[in-house]
Amino acid sequence: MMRTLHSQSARIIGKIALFTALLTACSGEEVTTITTDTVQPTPEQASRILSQATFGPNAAEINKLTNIGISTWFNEQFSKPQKLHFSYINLAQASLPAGSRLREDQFFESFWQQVVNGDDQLRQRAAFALSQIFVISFQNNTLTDNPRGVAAYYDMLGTYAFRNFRELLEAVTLHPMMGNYLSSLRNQKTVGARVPDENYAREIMQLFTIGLKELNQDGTDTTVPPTETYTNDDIKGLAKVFTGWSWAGPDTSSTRFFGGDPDPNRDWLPMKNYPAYHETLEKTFLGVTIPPNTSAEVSLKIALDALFNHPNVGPFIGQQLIQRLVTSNPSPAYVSRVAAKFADNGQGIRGDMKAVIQTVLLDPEAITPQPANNGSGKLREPVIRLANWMRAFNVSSSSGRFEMGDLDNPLDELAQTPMRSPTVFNFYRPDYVPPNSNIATANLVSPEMYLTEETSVVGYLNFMRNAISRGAGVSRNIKADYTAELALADTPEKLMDRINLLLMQGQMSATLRGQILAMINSNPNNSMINRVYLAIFLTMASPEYIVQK
Amino acid sequence: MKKRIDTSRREFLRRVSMLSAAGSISAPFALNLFAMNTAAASTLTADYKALVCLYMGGGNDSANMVLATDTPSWAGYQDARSNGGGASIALPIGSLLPIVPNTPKVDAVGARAFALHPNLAPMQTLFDAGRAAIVANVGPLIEPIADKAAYRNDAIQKPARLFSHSDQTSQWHSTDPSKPIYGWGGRMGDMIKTSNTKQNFTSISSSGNSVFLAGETINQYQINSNGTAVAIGGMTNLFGAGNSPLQDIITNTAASNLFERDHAAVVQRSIDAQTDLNNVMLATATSVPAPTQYINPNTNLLANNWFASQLHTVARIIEGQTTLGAHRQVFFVNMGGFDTHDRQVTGHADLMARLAHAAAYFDGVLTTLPGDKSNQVTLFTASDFGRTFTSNGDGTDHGWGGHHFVIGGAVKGKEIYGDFPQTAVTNTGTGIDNPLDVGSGRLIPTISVDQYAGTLAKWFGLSPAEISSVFPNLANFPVQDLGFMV
Repeated sequence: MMRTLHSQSARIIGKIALFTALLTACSGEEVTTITTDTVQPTPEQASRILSQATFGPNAAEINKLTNIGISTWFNEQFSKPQKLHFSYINLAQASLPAGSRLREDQFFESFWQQVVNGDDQLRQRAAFALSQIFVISFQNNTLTDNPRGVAAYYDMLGTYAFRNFRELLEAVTLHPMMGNYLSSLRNQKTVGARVPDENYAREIMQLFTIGLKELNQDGTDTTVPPTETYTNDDIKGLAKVFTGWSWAGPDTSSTRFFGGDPDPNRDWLPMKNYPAYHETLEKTFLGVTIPPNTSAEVSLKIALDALFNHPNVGPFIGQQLIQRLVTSNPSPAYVSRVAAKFADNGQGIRGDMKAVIQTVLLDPEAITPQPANNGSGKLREPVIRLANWMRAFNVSSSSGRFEMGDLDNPLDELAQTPMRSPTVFNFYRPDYVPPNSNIATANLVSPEMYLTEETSVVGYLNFMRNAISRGAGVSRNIKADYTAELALADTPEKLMDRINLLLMQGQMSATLRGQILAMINSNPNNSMINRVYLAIFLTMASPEYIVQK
Repeated sequence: MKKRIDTSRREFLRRVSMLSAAGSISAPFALNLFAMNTAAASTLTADYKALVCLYMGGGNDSANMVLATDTPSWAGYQDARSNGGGASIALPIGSLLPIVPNTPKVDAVGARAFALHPNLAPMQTLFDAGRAAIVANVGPLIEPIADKAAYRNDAIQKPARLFSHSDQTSQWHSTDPSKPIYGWGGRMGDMIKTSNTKQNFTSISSSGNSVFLAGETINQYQINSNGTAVAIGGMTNLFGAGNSPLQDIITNTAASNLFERDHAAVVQRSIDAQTDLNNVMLATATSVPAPTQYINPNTNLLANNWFASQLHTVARIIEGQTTLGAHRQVFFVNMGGFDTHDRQVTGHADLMARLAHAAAYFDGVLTTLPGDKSNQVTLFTASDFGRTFTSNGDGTDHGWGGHHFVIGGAVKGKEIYGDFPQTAVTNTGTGIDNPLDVGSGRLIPTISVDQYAGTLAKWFGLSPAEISSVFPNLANFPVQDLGFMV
């Protein structure tokens, strides 16, 4: 058994190397067409790719990927039209009873119906990863009142996930929801003792582009102790760039700048600059000097270009994308392969996000099952676990709306809701080390362990036990279709094969499989549907499933 | 007594085996060596004491929480903070709540006068009753930094990456730069855990995962903030069948993968603690009164105070102290929302109202617990940083030093400890020079977190050696007990 897996891995690595070479040869900024497809993955390998590149495998997509091959599947995904959350929200708004307002719940409905039904899965999963780097959150009151704006922001992440990082950075910077979240909207130039708000200037450097420490291209620190990338003077200088921006609209009146006379589309149109409030003094940061009286638009271009071209961006963003999609502790070589692709997609273009995402997902460390007996892998985050169940078992919502609500409560929910991070620092930090743990002793990190505590582990188990058997959502109308599993329930070995493939990419240990089969077999009179529930729940409860390896 | 020695011996053996398992990896080796050091822990069973950290997440604008109102101070405040417009973050002097410390403060500015934010009335009452003290201008330091010139002197060590949320939070929580993933609450727990029959209730967070409570040998227990203890369903019977292997599966700490083992260990701890916690929570469900509502100063309507609810949970565990066999406990309660870059006037007013309401509720409820716990429990505030003294129009940015409250019957209250900084921003135009202002009114702290924390640790019962171990930089400061505890 082991030998077979090894030889399969060797074969696929060889093919991936060839595939990557072809990819490099053909890729361009907007068109990353791959015409030659030599890789025919096994169902387990297909399930593995889908677990990292989508919200989770299902039987149909596994079949498809094994049939059309990896590169064709990626090409299809890159060319799928984006399904907009914005459209869902507008439809929801149109059907609201008179006098009621959109709520964040409508965004959650849209999020989960796309998790299940969206065919642009790669884009949706990439957007979810980016939403944990370029964080905004419904926990901010202004954003709570603007669910359509947040949906538009999330769509924007999906759009630019397949474009260039420089464009992504500008779209994030000028989005009015980000402007509200990090208070760059309505930020004013220096007047007397009043100084520009430094919030966005700080976080765009610390979290969105270069990070705190100078990095080698493989993600390691350049020096011991680390060399800091910027000083507070750099923040003060950069803060001046982010002055004078406020809501979109037909004029640049003070009333509009301060929020009056609202344009009906200001929740999603990029912010515009109001020259009366833009800093006229010299702006100096990171070795760049923008002369006095430079316009806001020119200043912004200079600033974003400087950040984009900083050597830290590739390893800093690349490592986080790897952590969100593949593994918590990528090797330096893996990070450097991604950073190199960020620096140059093979066509001399920096920041090609399609090329970066493909490199993250098709790296040998991503595509090859990692040996279990070490610190490999990552915890699947709670939202992804729920999504895995929904997709593997083809759930549908009888109302068509997927009313899921927020899932924040660790006691009986998941301690994680999309777009409800507690702060701009996301649900967890990329360098989180659980104290007093094996992970700490091995000098590893595990961001998702931050959400794993005495209460939330109970919440997850009870939540999934109910979802699997009774349905999920505020009225439990999100229910699975277990037809295929029921057909296998009287042959428990085959039932376990299927669940192992769908949820665990074929990596279930003989021990776990034996424990589940023993329970099924020791209760021979139990109903077939209960066997299905048991098999799925005990799998999803297991640390083996929770840790993607 | 005998039992305790046995426990330590078992622990020692366990650590030795961990040590050999760690093999040749150098960093974990050092880590475990330290852990072995802590085996010489204090066992304090004669009485009960608890420390409660009330964390103001995001960085509290303490310059609008405790204000200097003498004439020169107020002029500096007005210059820096008053825009003259509706969005001005300067508080009207007539709205402030005066406080008069027992020991008058006279310094280079002159005779200082003080007041609290207008929405801190319950805190003013606690201060006047001698149950609350203020510790001025506290922040992370490695060694003293006298002034701006010293700040610019590379020979004087400074905390890394000042003014960043994540770094200054880490510095407040951990105090030992060489062990940033462990907090001083948790490491105090490491020292005194043998005082408690149920050691997993030594360090308790009502607000999720905190570095503050992360110990090297002891894990924080993260209680749900509404205090409910819920069991995992399906442990014996599951979906119509018996012989459920659920518990074996979810607690399989023998897996070879480290993430799986660590996950299973959390689940095991959760199961271990659940019954004990349930006993406490059932027993205290009605005996510890829940907080009343507070008045939201922006709406003038009654509203629930989440911060007070978290302290309600803490009070219930404190009441269950005898059930749990606890003699020393450290709690962590987080209040979010303090990162007031904008809309500060309304946002901060509400936070101050809730802070004072929660603190007064907690102090009051402790007196009603069996044996009156109010002299045995000390609540103290902490925050990422103070904020800039300058205004950005309707808010403030990340600073460094900030003022804090210490509350409880064991506090020598109605005092302001430490030098109260000059309230003025350095301005070359006017010739004002604030020696502690490193830009925009970011103040060099004049009291280090180690001094603040070390004073609390001493009251808590740590030995001098244990205090030096938890706060290695404390030796860099001439005063190691600030004197605000009895």
